[in-house]
Amino acid sequence: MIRRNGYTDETLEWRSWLAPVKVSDASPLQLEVLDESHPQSRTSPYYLTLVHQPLMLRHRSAAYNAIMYAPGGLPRAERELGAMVVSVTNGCVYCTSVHAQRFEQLAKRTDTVEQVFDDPRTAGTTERERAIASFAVAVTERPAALGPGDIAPLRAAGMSDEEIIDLLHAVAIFGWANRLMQNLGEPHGPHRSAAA
Amino acid sequence: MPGGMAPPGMILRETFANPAMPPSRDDDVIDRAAGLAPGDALHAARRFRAKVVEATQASHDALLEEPVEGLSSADRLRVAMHVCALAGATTLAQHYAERLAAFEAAGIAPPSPALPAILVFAAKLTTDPRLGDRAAIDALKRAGLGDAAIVALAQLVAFLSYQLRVVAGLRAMHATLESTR
Repeated sequence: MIRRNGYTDETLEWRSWLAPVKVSDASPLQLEVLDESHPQSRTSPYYLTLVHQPLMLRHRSAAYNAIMYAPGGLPRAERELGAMVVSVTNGCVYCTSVHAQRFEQLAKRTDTVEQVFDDPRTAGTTERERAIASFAVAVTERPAALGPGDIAPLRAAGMSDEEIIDLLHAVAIFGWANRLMQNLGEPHGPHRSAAA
Repeated sequence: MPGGMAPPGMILRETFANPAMPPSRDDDVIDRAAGLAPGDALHAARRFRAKVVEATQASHDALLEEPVEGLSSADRLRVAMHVCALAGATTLAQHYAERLAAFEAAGIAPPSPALPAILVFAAKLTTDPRLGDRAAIDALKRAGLGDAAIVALAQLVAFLSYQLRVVAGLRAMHATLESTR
């Protein structure tokens, strides 16, 4: 278990500031989209909130699942590293906890997680991880100023165009995911209540 | 976009599109904003993730076109234009401005009295996601938005943060490919 700098890899809960849809009141379309989105979405306040707009959720989930889980291209652990770096850069404690766990499961180690929690700007145990982390911070903080100089370290680390696009997608979609988690509700759980 | 979603989308498309040119797979907002054309190496590399390309465009369409009580498509375009301009995403801001102009020319797009509150929320969410709190949600409720409209608005603004970053990253990649030619 890692707790550093306000972040944790423990499992947190999330509560909505809106009224989540009740499964018993959900339309057939809403149930269909919930089941497409995530295996536990029928008990998740996050998905039950987003399913107020089922078609918007359907396409978001299709994009998210293809970006984070599709085979081939950038190794999944590196997509999770991008997601985790963005989540810390944006201050999303909930998303950080989920994607720290995923990274640990895929990479079978925790050293990079500790570094990201401490400072995403300098995180990474290899040149390639450092290139991924720097790119994720740059895309998050200064999208309008991105240029060839931000791409070169990724190419130098051996990434193909397809892999760079995979990373760009993973990083960009956490600009989307973090904003929903941070603006429609808040995390709670062992770490948060212990800290409070 | 699935056939079941055709009716609301169609109404809008007829307002905008040249009927001689049905929307095609190549008519993709991100490609256009990033300056990618069929035949470019990067246009082809994007199609390695065809599902992402499709779901991204379908998200754009649903977020702008699905009927939402209390949040008109024209006001959603105003939000999109404002957010993209604020983030320095010039080509995307222009895309949304053009779509809004088509609405305004048709005289069917008066701004809602809730628009100022909506734009305040959108700007905060765009520039710093940490600023989100329950008070911001309550301000939208006081302006008359229900929970379903607030979800639509948050999804739209959060999607724009994704879309403008994908465009910016592709433009940076495109520039490196151009310069090595």
